[in-house]
Amino acid sequence: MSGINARALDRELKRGSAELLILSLLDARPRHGYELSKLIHARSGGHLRFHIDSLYPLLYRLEERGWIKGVWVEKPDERRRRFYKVTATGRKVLAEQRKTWDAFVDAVRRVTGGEHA
Amino acid sequence: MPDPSTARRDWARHIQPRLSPLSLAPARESEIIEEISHHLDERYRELIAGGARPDDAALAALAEFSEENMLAKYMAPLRQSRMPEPIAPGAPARSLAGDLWRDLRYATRMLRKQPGFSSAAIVTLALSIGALTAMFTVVDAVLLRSLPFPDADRLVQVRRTYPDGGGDSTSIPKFMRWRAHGREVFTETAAYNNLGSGFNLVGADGPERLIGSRVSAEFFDVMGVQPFIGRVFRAEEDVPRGPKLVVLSHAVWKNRFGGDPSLVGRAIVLNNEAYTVVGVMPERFRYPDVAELWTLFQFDPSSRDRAHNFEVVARLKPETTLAQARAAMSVAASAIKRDAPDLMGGPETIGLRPLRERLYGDMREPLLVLFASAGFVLLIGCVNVANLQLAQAAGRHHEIALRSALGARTSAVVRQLLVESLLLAAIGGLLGVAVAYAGVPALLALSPVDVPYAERIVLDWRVLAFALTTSLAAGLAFGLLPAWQSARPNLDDVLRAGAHRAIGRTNRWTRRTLVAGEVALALMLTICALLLVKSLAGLQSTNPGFTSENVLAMKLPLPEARYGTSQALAQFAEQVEERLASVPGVRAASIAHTLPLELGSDLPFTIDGRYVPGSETGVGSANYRPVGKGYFATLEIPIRRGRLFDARDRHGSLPVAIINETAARRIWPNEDPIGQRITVGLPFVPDLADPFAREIVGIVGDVREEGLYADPPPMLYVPISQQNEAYATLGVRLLPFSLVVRGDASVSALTRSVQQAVWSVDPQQPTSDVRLMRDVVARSLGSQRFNTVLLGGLAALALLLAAVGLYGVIAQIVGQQTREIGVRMALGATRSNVARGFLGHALVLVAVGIAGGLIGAFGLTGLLRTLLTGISTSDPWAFALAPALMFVVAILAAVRPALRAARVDPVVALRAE
Repeated sequence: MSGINARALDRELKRGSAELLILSLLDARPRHGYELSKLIHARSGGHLRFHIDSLYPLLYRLEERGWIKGVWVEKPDERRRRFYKVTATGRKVLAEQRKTWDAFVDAVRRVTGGEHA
Repeated sequence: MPDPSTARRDWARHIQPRLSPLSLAPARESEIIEEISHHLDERYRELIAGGARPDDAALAALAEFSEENMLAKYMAPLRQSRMPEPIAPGAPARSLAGDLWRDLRYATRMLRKQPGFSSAAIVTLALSIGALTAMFTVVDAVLLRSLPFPDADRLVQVRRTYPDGGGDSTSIPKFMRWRAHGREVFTETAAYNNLGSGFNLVGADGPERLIGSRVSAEFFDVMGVQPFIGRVFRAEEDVPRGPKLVVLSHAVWKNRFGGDPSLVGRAIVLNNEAYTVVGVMPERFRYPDVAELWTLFQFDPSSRDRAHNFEVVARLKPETTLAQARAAMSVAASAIKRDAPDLMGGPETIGLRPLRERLYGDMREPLLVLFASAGFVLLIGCVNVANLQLAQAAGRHHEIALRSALGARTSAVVRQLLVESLLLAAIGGLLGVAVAYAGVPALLALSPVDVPYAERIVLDWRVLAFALTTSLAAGLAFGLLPAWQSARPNLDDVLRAGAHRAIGRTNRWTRRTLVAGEVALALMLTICALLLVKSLAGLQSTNPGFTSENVLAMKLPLPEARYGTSQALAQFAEQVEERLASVPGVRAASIAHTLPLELGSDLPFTIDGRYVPGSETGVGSANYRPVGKGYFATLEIPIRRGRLFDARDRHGSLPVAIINETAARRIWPNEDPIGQRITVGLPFVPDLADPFAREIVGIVGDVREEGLYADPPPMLYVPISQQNEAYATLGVRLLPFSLVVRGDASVSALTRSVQQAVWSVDPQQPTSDVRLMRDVVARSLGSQRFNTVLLGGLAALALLLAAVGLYGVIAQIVGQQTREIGVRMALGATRSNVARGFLGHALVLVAVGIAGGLIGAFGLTGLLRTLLTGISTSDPWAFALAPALMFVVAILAAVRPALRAARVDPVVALRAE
């Protein structure tokens, strides 16, 4: 399998970058779990893939922290689905994390890109 | 075959095993299963749309899971995976503490589920526990706790006692004998002036008046107090013409002398004489509680002065009981009567009572009545909450029956219900303490009398312990009955029939009995309150015998050194009255030794031509009051016969006196007192006696000198300018004089101009304690008003609670009988029939309660006897008005549920079940 393997993803989960990923995607509009998983897969060019086992516990954790909130949406004759949206707290965390992440990426770029310069 | 692209597959069997290692709440687990099922649905549909066969698509969709145990592993740290243990009330016990904890959590949940019931119960309890706790705070400080002196329980007051009462004050010869005889049972016996006398301290900021108590040398030893600095008095200093010494209170030392320790040994000027400061008392010591300093009596042991003008306190020996001391002093009284029959005669004997009774004896009865009333209110409150619980238990029958059916033991169900009651009581009690905390200062502010050591009336651990005990007792009281009744439902009935009909007749009857009882209790309190109201109203309309409107009174503490002779006193009084007469706005003014509603002293007198020496014939006694010429005009006391004092009655002119109607009636029943001559002081108080006879020149109207509730005493008025030397000296020493002024100007303007007039005569003479006579009269009813307001408030609370209880019961009955009402209306009953029926029902309950209450009230009001004036404890007005009031309240309470019954729609009611 190409891309990041399960163990690596596990590490990312612990490090919190996966949280940033989810918050960023939900910041645009509310989405359900399957949509999130597809978006991450597609936008990472197939490099990132969330399994159910890791995606949902992550969502529940963010919900317990109060960063996102899930709401059930019902449609006639269909299974009800749970949509998640970012809360005000979540939005603040996202802004914080984006800053840190940008700084980190910038730093990495400067170190790794320095040899090419 | 269904379209596989839309078909829902059952994913649960794939998901559920992955969640099972977690202890998720069942509801949460099914939510997660649903959410993940949706995920799998979407994936499955996508695969089908991509052309996969259903079974392959399903398998591929399940590949969205990674490993078998990963979901549980990632979920495990989440909060939702740690579900609390289920609460199963009434389940078999494991440990008592655990059970109670579980019961408590369940109880909290139950109370939160029924905010209406909970808040009604909690407010009821908070108010009634608060009222009782506030009363207890006062009762505890005043009647239960020992006084703030070392071994205060050994302090006793030694006093004159007669078969029908007693007197707190005594005379020098009696004190000398009491002290000698008391050595057997008392460690020390001391004399002290309880009212205190004024001492003018001249300092940099002008003259200031301090209250000092004269004491005998043993005083501080008796009280068991050591000086803060310096020393106390010594026996060898307590002799006639001994050194002028003073002990200061901590407050005076701190505030007036800056807490200067070198003050001890130095002299200060009091009443124009130099007193050497020998010591300062510790901060917490204050006795008598008015005292700011103490000086020595320096009695002459050979004095024959019979005037009773100081009090005696003694400390029991450690091994002596009060009863032993009483017996010993009774023997001593016999011995004194044998040795000195002229000193102590007739039925007089020596009595002892704990010092606490001396201080708080008067407050005892009213306090106990109020405390008991607050207890009544709490009882009514408990009945109310029990009622609410019974009503609510009706709704919970199903739940309880179910629990019993599931195997809960009766004891477990009772325990659960009791824990709910106790939780309610605890919350109510906590809020009650808050109510008391706010209420006690208000109570003291409303209090008419200055309660000695009022600073001790605070919420302390004793009060908290009381509130806790009361709350628990209340919780048990209102919890046991409902718990007992609810815990033994007939399971079959309840589970088969709807909850309503199974509530059972027992519950309904219990509730009605409780409400009738509540009505009875409330009625009893209302009757008591109405009795007090009527008594107070009677007193307020009593004519005091003088006009208090527009009269200003103030104290004039005259220093003995300047005004201790009859001539100096006469001159000062005449000059002050003269100056005051010319002050604009003053219509009349006078100086007087004492004023109506103040303590005065009785003096005996002999009637010339009738007195037989050695007998009681021709001896009279009256309240003795030296007054200025303008006294009667200022207070508008009417002259009945003869004349008032005028310019003729000067120092040195023919001595005269005026009596009141009561004195005329009692002492000269069949004669004309005018023109009679009397010698004041003889035969019993020779040291103070007039060395001349006085002619009675007038009779004035009676004044209720001892309060509006007491009959006017006989009075003997003499001109201030015609006092004998001995009385002039003692009078100035014992009590401050007073000024009364009738005027049109404002109080502050009048006060200023009176002060100026006094200063124009003597620039060093302060005035103090300015007050309106109107307020003095009003304040003399303060105790009555206080008792009435408080008991009235408690009775109002009781009525309100009874009304709430009645409302609850009628509303419940209406609720339960909706179907019956429907049937009756369907059969032709009109709406007014129905409403009248329920109203009648309520009134029957109230009538039963009233009957009980009336019987109880006849027994209870006897306790009020000492608090009532001028009316009987079975006053028909109160006994008639209270039930009428109760009926009005009952109709108001029952009218809403009764009207609701009338609005029942028969169609809806019949279809409902």
